[in-house]
Amino acid sequence: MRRPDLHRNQKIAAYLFVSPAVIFYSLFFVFSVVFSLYISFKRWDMLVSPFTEAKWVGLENYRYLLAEDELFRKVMKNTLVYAFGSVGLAVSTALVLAFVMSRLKGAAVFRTLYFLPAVTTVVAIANVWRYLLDKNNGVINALLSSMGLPRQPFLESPEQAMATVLLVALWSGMGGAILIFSAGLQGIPEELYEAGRIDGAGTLQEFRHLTLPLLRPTILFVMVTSFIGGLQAFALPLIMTGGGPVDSTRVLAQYMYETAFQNMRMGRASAMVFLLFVIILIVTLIQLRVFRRGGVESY
Amino acid sequence: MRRFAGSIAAVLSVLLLLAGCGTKPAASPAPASEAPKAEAPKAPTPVVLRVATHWGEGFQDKLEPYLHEYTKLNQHVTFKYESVPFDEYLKKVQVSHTSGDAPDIYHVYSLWGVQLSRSKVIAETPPNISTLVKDQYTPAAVGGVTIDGKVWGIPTEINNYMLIYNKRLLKEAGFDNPPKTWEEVYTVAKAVTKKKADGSYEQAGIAFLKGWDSAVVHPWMALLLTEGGQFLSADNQTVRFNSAEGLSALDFQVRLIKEGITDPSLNGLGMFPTGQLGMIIMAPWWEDTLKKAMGDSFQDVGVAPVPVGKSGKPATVAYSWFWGVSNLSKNKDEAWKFLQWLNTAQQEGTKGGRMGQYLVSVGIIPGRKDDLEAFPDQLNDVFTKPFIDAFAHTVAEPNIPQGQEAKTALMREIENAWFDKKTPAEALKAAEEQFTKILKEAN
Repeated sequence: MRRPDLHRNQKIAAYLFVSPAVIFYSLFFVFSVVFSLYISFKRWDMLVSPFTEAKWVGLENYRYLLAEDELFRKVMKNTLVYAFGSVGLAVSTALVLAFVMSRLKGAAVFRTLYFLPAVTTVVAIANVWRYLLDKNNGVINALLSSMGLPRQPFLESPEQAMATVLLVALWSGMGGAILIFSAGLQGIPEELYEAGRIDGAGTLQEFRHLTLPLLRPTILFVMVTSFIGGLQAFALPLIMTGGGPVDSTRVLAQYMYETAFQNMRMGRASAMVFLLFVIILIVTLIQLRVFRRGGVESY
Repeated sequence: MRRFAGSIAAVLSVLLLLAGCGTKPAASPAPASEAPKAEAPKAPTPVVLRVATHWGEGFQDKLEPYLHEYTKLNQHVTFKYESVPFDEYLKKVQVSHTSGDAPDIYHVYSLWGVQLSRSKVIAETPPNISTLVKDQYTPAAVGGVTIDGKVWGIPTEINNYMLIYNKRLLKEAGFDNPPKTWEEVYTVAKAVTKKKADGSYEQAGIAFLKGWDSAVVHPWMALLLTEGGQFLSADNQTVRFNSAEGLSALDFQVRLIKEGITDPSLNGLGMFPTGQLGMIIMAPWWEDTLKKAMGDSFQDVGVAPVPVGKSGKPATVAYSWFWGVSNLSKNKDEAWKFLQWLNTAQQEGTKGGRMGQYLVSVGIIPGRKDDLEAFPDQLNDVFTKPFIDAFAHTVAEPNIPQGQEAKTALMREIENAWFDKKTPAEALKAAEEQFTKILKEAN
């Protein structure tokens, strides 16, 4: 008769062990999300009680953002360009580089060099690149000038600023993706490549018909996490350009922050949070659907 | 289970026993032969006043001695000074008020005043403080601290805008005096601007501030006012800046940019101290920074009124700060008593107050009339005196609800015109629409 008691006691002990994490998660995540959703239906400046004094406005915050706020639409476009741009560039470049490095001796040295920006603080990266790219006194423009090429405004041009920030984001974020792809490539049996070579496949064909399909789960992981990171980008554009010039690099996370803490519109900022959540969810579901098959196990 | 319950009961019993033993003995009655003693005056309850300002390094160490001095005179009062960077200050106010853990004394930027007063973040001033402010402060300073007809604190710094210029660069270009009109600004700036063969600026004639809303909006407002325009109606309910005068001011800036005399990318605050910039419209708090950065070259710096437009009349704009007491403070009386001490004459028969003395020591112009007379050495220097003289025609930035949001919207549209994303007319129209929407909703 002791056996059922022991099982029940083990279950109780297990729940007790996980309860600190559950309580922490409930307080700092579940409560925050529910409260944020509640606030998104109110007009609240954080200076009065959110429950008794903040005005209930229903869907007005959402309506204003989607129908009236020109800046929100511009910022949304910037965020999508940043996310798709950084993912597209980072994933494709990292994949090619990881594949090439897997064929080289001393690949560990290259991986380390590419990974170094990933372990550097984004504040330092942003500030250093800001000075390098300065229109009048930057090193890059000095180089262009010395080669007889025209100086470029880079971060001072609404047309060039976003592309410039994207390239810096690519440089700083590529290392992590290369590392993950390298690990994924090592999981592909060498015999498959040998079999391919025997059948006359060249490097490009190996990459297209072997590497890509077998690496699908890894690509999916990198794309999903990169997209989520890209859609939530904040520090790099903020420090490099402050969101300018003329809002050309202002992304949603920065606009949310300004709406909440400078404009004192916490309700509207919360509505932006949930709109961003919906976008991230849609993009992630599409990726999961597209990449649902693949990998070494499924072949 | 029974053993466990028994242990708990035993522990509780011991605790109750200890609690019982700890009770005070009943007071014994006084012997009949002793006369009752008079009660000694109660010592004041010790108070810690928390003071939060945006003044950090270089400022804090000059303000704190006055806090220590007050403690020496009022030993029950001590201070905890909290320095918060300007960019974070409004967040600090929001979060500290919401959490209930607010400082006793805030140093408030006037533009935030409407929101903070209507949300009861700051307390109303006692009548004696209101009278003190109305009697002893300049009109621009009183304007900055008056919201909905009431005074909400004690003004501190007041910053208006003037044309700061490099005498050496102007002289090298053939000009012994600074420009007085917009056309003269154009001529002087064009002559001072020099570019390298690759098109980059070796030196620029003029630059417009950028990077934050006040930087962009205030100089443009100064130009609007010198052109004879108005920013808002007298009751702050209607936008007036989308006018011929407003358009003229923005057109002037855009013309200088389009002709390559200046560029929005130029970092004016960085170029002027290095002698690469001829002119900039800036505030007096920059003096200390310029002196440190320029050293002996500071003697090349001149200050002149903002050049006038069509109106021919001098004008400029000012923004201000004030001391406010938190509505959550449990020490309001002590806080107001301290602020009154800080902002009145140090000794009978003299004029200068301690706050005035602190402000002039860090290159900031005080808003108190007696302070302006009491510190001639610091205020009558060639840099500061023109700013003070300009108070006669300085217009205070209006205090409006959601002021920061509205000013940011205006900044965006001005920059849209600078970068040729919109024509000046389109930019001002869009700014007016957004400003009006914000004002209507907030009121």
